Amino acid sequence: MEIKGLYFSMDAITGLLLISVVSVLIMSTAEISDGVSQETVTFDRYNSQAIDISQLIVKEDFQTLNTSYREELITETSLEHEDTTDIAQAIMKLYQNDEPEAEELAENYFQTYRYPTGLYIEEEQVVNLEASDQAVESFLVAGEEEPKRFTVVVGE
Amino acid sequence: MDQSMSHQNKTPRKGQVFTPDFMVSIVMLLFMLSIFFISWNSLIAAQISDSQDREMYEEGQRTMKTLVSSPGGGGFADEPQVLNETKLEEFQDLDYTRQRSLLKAEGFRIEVVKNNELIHEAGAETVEGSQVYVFNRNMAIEQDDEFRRVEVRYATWR
Repeated sequence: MEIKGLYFSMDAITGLLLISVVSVLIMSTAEISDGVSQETVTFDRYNSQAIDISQLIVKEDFQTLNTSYREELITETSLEHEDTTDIAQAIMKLYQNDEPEAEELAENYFQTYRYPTGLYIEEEQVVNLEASDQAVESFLVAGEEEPKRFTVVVGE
Repeated sequence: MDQSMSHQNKTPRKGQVFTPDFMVSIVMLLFMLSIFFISWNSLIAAQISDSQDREMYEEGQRTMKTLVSSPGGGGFADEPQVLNETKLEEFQDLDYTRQRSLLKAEGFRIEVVKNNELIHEAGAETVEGSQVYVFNRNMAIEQDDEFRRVEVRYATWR
């Protein structure tokens, strides 16, 4: 007795499976996004801030913080008026005299920026920064004897 | 007479025969192909959109870098990170079409903020677009022989 209905041979099913697998493979390999990821945007922001700090720390003076803070530092540390023409010079002087206020001053200055920031002078840590993604910018600051390399790290 | 009729019955009929199995397989193949092409087209459309986004973002980054660090060619800086307000004011005097052409932006808005107060603005009145990127940079302006911090915000969109 003949049974009615549609018959699918193993060949046909195998063929369909093969076509499906090839289609899925093509689609999955083609899914290469060329868009802008959130990670890229975030890292670019850190990088921009690191560049901004490297330029502004050698230009800005204590107006950015507080003029009374400058007087406080001059009274309590080896800092003198001529050392406070810019923030980088003030940090450098305090750092060279091994005074803990170097870290405090750098921290206070970095708080005027949007993202957490750390500082190294000649590979030695001045302000610590715990962050998984960091943008780094290095620059030279003229010192009493020779220029020192400041390295600013920005991240979260 | 009988012989000729018998001969006619044995002659095969001319023409194409479509069996139900064959028709079903054609329909299934067409269905699969159409699914594949619809998915492919949506994928390509997304890729084009992503590519345009990246292009706009990179153009915005370049523009912002020029604005804050270059003294010419559309830059507002006397030296890196030092804003020349006169240059910015000259730019503000240009009409929006010319401004957009200089910045190579479909739409844009620039704001300069000092101590949370808007001191300069240029470009469109409001930020609007299907895709918007905002870039913030820190600069300084020279006032009374001292540098004062400002934040420059540049929004670009399409």
